[in-house]
Amino acid sequence: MKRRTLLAAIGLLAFLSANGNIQPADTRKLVLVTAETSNVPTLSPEQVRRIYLGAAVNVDSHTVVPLRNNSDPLLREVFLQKVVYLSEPMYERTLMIRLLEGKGARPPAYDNPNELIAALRATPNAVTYLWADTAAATQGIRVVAELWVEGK
Amino acid sequence: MPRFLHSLTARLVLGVLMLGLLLGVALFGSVLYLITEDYKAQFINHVRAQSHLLVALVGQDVRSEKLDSMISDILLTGQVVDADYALETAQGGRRTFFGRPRSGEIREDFFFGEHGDNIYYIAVPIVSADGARHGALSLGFDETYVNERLAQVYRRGAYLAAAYTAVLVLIAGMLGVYIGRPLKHLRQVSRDIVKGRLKRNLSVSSNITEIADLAGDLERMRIELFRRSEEIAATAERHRAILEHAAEAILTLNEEGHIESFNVAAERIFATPKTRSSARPSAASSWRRRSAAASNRTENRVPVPGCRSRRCAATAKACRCCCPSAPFGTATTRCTLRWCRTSANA
Repeated sequence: MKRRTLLAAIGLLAFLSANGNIQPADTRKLVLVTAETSNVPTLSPEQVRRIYLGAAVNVDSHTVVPLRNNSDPLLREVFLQKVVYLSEPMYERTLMIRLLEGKGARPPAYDNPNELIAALRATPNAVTYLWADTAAATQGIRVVAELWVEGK
Repeated sequence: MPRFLHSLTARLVLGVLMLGLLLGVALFGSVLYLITEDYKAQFINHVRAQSHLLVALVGQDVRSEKLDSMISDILLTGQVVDADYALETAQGGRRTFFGRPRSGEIREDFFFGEHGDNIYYIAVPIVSADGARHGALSLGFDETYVNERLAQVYRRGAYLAAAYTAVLVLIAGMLGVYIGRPLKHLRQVSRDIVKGRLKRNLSVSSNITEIADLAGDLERMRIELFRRSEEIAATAERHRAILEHAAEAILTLNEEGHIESFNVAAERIFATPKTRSSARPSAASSWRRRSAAASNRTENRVPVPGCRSRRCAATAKACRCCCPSAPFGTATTRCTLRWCRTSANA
């Protein structure tokens, strides 16, 4: 009986590994998402960086609207380190300078994840960043870029 | 020591010291916190920007020789203490390590001081100009320099806080002396007034309104006291003259029955010089007897010696207590003589 159970467990693990769906529990992944109805295509890391630095980026004749997710400090720091390559004060300063010079808009920031998702759905061509598991659990959004995978 | 602690100067110093410590901790704590956060943010910004710049440069020409050269150059400055890269070339994967030997994989940092290893690890993808990913570069930036700078800031902050507290205490002490001096003067003058030295003018000069007002009030009080004491002295002198020169014998006794004073007329009537009778009990008894006899003669009072029966022999009415110096019937606690009227309307 024990032997059969062990074999079944090994078999299940092998099946899951072959499908690539298993990940260590602590592996984190940051993804860029948009509303399911949005026309935003897949974006490159450099495009995402430019969008979030306040530059107007048109993709397929659509202006992408960035939304900032401030609901999780770690998520915010990962985004700053992996996407814009700036510290938070410097990022804020950069956005402010661009705004004052009239060269770009300051992406709105949301502390509440529910408000963020609502704004994402309500704003045409809006994008934001989420943990991959959060994105997978949220209805009505789709992933347009993988920004960071832990350990890669 | 406890007396000094209750003095104005000590109270001021202690109060300012407490306030200084309270404000100092809040103020310096806030400033140090802001400085610390700013240092950390600057460091993180430097690390992220430098890493991004480096991979952007590498991305233009992805060759391991160039990467080796660049990393060796960065390591020379000492800002980066640990580095490695994994490059996927046409010939296959290659991983190169620089800097200090390490056991196991690095753990990437996202906050200053994370993982407690004094190194801020960052991993950045090596992407060529066409957007193709060629590998990843990991750099370990030294956090020690920032920590040393922060320690220096804390040390200097502590010195500054100590100097700030010392200056506060010094100022409080000087203020205590400045306020305390006129108050001491006022206290001295008040004692003089209590001792009856009213002629000395009160001159306390102070710029502090409350002290100046207090000195003014005290000076007015002194002047009023002086005026009243002069009036009392004049009144007393007038009364003494009236008593002395009255035609009737007037004498005063204290509660024990001792004669305190009597006038010239009393001297004459009782034929006793003032020097013999004053404040003597025996003389008082004598005066009482003589006074009683005189009173009896004039007002038909019958003395009841010892007043044992407490009844008047003539009228059988209750005796009434009387002191020789008081009107008939006035009861005193120490009355030794009792009288009764013998007249019809008594």
